[in-house]
Amino acid sequence: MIRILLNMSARERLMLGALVTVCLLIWTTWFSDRWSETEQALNTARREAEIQRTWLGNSAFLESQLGQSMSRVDTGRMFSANGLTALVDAYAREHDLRHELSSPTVTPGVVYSQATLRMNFRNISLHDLLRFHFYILGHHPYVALEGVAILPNRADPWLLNVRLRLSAIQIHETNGL
Amino acid sequence: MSRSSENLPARSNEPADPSVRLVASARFFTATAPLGRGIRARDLRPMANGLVEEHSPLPLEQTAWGFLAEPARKKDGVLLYFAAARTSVFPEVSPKARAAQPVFPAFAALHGLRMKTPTWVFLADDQGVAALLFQPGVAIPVRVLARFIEDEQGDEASRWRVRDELAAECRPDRPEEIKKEQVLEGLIRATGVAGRNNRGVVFTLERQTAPGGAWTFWKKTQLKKADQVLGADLRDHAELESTHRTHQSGQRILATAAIFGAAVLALVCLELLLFVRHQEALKIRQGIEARADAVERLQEIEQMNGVLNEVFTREFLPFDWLMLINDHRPEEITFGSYGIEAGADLAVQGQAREVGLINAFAERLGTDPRFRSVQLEDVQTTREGATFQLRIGPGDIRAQPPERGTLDSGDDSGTEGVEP
Repeated sequence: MIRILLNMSARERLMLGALVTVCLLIWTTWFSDRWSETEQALNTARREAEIQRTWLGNSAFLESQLGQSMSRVDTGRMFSANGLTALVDAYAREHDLRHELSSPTVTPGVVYSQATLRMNFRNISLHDLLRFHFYILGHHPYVALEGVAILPNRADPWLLNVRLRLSAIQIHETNGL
Repeated sequence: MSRSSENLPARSNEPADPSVRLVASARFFTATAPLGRGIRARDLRPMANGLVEEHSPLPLEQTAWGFLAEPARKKDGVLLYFAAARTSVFPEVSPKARAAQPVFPAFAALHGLRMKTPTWVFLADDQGVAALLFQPGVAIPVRVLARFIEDEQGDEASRWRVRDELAAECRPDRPEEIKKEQVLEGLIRATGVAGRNNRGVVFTLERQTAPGGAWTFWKKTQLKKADQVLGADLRDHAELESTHRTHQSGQRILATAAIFGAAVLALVCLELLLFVRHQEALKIRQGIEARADAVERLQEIEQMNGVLNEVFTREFLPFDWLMLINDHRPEEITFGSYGIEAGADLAVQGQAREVGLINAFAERLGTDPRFRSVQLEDVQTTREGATFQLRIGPGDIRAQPPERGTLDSGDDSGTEGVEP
């Protein structure tokens, strides 16, 4: 190897040295980038693992909380998104209320899911509105009213156009197990 | 300190290290030239080259030549140059073997010997004896007289006979120096060991004080520097210099290659470390993925408890708040819309005959402790009166309401609050 290098001219040796130096610099830069990425990935993974360990360390407490919640609630009276829509629709038809229902939005989960329904009542009296409110409060503890907007009818101020936001929670029987 | 000759090589011209070969002094023509001050080491070779070329009867290509130099210090220096026919110095050996073996005249072994008075030293080699004159403080001989011995086998008696003949010839050039010159008793012989890469040659000198006597260790001398070794070496100087340069170049290349190699090795080690860390990250990530479902379930349990507590135990009373606001409403104000979102402020839009009524209404709400904040926004006058928007922060609905009279007294003062 040395003999080959000795047989080269000084210019060839210089160019070879420069080439090797450039290659080493490229390698070093490339390595530096990969090192940074790996370090970042490793640190992120370590942090996530630490967070997971914290969660798993509290699993007994959380499981006991789940047990308490399950003993406190009546899952038979909970509604899915479709159930909530059917409930409101049935009530409105039964009481001859003009209503519009939008598609419910659902936050799915393995332990529970939460559905949110937006609906409008048109030309409803305050009395009927309050009756609906008290019906939900009295009969369906796992359905909650989360927002109300009332606009009076310009032609008949005793009639109201009401926009409501209802939320329902459903705990799955398996609890994700 | 002396050493027995039994521990040393038997013959002076067969060095212990075969990489050094000493050639009989009698084969050389020698001469000296003065060295003035300011002559540098690199000037010595061209100078010696010129002198040899001038005095040699043979063309320079057929001459093996060299020099020993005593650079000028206080006095002028001396250059001892020597030459012999190349065929008589170099036997028929391969160029490779020749290149690997430094060749010196036998008297080069006395380089570095310093005497206090002018002294003749007799150096024996395998083919003859040389008488060398050393001047005080000068480390090289300034005169060389050499004779072959008749006996090719190197008989000791022959050597002593030649020595005595030479001793008889050793007469100073100037008669006044006769009394000053000393003659070293006995014979000296040398063995040489070369250091690596022309880094110097060490010669061991032995002395025999009488015929038939034992050879005992006398002194050690040395050609210390690379240029001294190259100067005394009889091989082709251009070739030696080229070899020397090639060697130096090779060393530089080797050093550079070592640096590059070290850098590559360091990068390879770092790559290995990176691989280990990458594998560690992958392993942790696999563990995270394996536990993800269980952790997600626990997070949902926590979230569900939060939702259950927040949504279903929260006291969200939109119509109660509407009634409370309505209680404060003067008859001249009508509400256009009412809205409330859980956990947010109430928004009421309405209209009145004049702005003063609106201000009074807002102020009256503001004095009620059940409302956390009351903010009157977007008051606009129209041909029929004024419209407004109220943003009311719901507070504690169970707080004690103000006396009715207190509320009524605010009617007059509230008209100065907000101008449209």
